[in-house]
Amino acid sequence: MTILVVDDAAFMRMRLKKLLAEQGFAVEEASDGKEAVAQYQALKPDCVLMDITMPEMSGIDALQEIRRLDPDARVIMVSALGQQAMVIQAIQHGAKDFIVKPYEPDRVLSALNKVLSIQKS
Amino acid sequence: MEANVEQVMSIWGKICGPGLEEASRALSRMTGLSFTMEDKAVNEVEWKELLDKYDARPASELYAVNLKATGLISARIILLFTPENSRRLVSTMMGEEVGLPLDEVSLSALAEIGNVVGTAFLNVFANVFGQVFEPTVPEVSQGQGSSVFPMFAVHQKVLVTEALFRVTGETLTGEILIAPVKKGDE
Repeated sequence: MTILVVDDAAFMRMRLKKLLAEQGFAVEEASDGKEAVAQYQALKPDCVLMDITMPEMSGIDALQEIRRLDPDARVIMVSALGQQAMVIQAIQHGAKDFIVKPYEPDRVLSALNKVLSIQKS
Repeated sequence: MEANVEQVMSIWGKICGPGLEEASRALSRMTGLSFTMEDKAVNEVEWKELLDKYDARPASELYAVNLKATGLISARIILLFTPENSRRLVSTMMGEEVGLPLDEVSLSALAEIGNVVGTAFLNVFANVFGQVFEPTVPEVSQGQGSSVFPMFAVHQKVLVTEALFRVTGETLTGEILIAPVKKGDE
């Protein structure tokens, strides 16, 4: 299964990539929302882990664009503390789950497993 | 409604300890390492005094992680580390020795430390006031003395916390500056 990790912070991408690769996932990366949309179109990953706050195109805008391209897209949003309003907005736009930074590895994996178990129509 | 800055400074001075405890828990959760942070000293100073202090240091190169917060009041939170302490902290976090100057991944790790610490402080502050504070994306800058600081009015009050970071065999210091900013003062 392929996971697209989207975060403008190289360190956070590195951590997630290491964690997911250890679990046997193939991991692709994007560093902003615009790149995430392009990567999604090109790779059709099984799930996207996407930070909310990013330059160029925010996570919320990228989520909307990805869902427009693929209404079944499985996207998990990654938020910082204090971004409750944006998390609600993301859920309204079709995000399947959210993770709050700083997160424990187990929380990432449980969200991912839950979302990957959702059948696409 | 904007809060009274003097009142905020006074409350903020009292929550540095809980703020650092919250930050320690968050960093430990994130990294799987045992982080502890404590405040060695907390002082309220004027901005000019701080600039003079940093410019007067002989070895004054610094890495600064800078984030803004908006909510009940606007504030700046700045974490300051010497290059060597930045390198040691990031090396511990990444589980491998990194070099100086810090590369893109290391700078991003340092920014994440700023993000976690800043957000932990805001969280404690939010609990006290029952208000949500929204942090901006942290920015890391590197330079000599006060060149890494944002511009403030010279009489702007700043809370300076000298913090001790302990993590898996490393003990190092950093400074956390918190400046409540009235609209139009920046």
